[in-house]
Amino acid sequence: MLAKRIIPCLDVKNGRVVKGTQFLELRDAGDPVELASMYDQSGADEVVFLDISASQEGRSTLLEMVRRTAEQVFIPFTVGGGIRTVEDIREILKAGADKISINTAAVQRPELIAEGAQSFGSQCIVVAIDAKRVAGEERWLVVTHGGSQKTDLDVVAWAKEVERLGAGEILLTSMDADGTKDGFDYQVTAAVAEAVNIPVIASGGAGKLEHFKDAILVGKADAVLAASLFHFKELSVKEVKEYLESAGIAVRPVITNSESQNGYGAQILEEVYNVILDRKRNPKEGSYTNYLFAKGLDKILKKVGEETAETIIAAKNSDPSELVYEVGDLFYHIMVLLAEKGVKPKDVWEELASRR
Amino acid sequence: MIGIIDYGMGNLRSVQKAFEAAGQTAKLTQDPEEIQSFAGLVLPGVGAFGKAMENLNDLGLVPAIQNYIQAKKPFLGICLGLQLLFTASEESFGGEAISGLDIIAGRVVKFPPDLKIPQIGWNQIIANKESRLLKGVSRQAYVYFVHSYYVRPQNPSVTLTTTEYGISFVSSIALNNVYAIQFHPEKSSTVGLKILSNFGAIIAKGENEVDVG
Repeated sequence: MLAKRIIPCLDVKNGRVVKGTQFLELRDAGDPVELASMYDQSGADEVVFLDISASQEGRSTLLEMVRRTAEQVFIPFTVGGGIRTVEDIREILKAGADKISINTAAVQRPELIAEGAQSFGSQCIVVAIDAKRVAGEERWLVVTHGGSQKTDLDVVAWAKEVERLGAGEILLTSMDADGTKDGFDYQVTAAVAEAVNIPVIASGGAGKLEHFKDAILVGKADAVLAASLFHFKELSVKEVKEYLESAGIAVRPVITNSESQNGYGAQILEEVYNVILDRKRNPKEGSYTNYLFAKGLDKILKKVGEETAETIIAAKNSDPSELVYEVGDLFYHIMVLLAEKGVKPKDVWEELASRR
Repeated sequence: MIGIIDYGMGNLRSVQKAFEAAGQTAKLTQDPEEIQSFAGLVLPGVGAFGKAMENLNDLGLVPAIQNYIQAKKPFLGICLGLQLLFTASEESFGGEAISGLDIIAGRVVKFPPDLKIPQIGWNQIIANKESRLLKGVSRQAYVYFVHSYYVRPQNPSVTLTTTEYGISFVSSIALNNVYAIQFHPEKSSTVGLKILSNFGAIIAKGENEVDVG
């Protein structure tokens, strides 16, 4: 099932993250690339960079940052801010961004959406819409220039129009809720999500775990974006995802470093051993493991010897991936040997532990 | 060394860098002769099927790819690179179906119109069988997809994984030395890098595999 996405947003000026962040473990908490990489590791599904540089110099720094991000961060990322022309879009995508986001420029010249979608595909054109509620009504108007300028565009009508022009996603920010930490504007989110058939990212107002759930269940958002909440560690992406999962919402689970490294090795060996035991008990035709058991102890010992020799050869060669592969083979055959002799891997772990 | 075919269909730097992050060395190439010298070959790509075939033809890469695959060397198709392996695609501008590389029998078709198209985001790959490409990847791992079309192989036994998106579709295939995936490993975080590292191991090991199972 398609997962609901959790997206941290980073404000960038002249190649640096603007709002201070509280990640003491980072060498340089102001480096957008390092922060994005950290968010990748901590389970974020995407990252959005919002460039607020005004100068030309800031733009070239931005492109350099996009290039470095594309080389070091292996989740999708979007770049927004200051994009006015198809040429701007081309530059940023060419530098390696997966998507671009346009806001004010799309309101001023809606054809930009169509031009971008035709040149590069809808999937990389995100239209950001800033919405402000008409006091006392269930109606919202589009605001531009970071909320400082009003328009008379109706938010829902504008959302339908950007979809028609070829937008691939809508990033919807409630300017009423933004910064309050009192929760998203679920009404405007739902109104837009129900009006269009492209994904809607809810933004503005996240303060508590429940807000994320409500943005998805009440606001019908496909993804949820937050900034300072994550940067100041009030909540982690992992906490949000675990909460959503417990609420029955499909999210991509966070694989933390500790799970993928510490303790993971022995666990994988146990899993391999269990598969081997299962093959021994329930032989499966064509299985290599069963072939070994059928041939008996001497064949298994011969293979352990061979794989040991191959490990030695691999270690003498320069390619480390070869060594990894051969040690993998060796470990596997040792697990078969243990199973043949009725010894459990756990006995070996305990022996090793006792030698520490 | 892994060769990544650069034929003007999207930015391939991140594919190259992801291979490097997965402990492999990879080089971008569009030289039909150089291609044969790589220990493993990758056909990535995003965009339109017709344009991609046109570019491959213009660069003289169609026979080069077919020869490489016939030589039984490890091959990995990514996203559009999966679809191009098929007989033909529905994707066209009102005309007839466009012919592909015809290495895997079957067609490329569009998602039904009632779904949000393209499918964008993280979805699960459900393994149909054991494979060296997915070694160490959990059974319903999430990976990143961006696509409007999907493949329908004639012979279902090439299916490696399926994915649910309104319908159940084939999200990766394996046939002898040919592997191909609909999702983007270079955007699929730890799981994606693991798959790229597995492809490196397939190259290092050659044909004499030890398959657990």
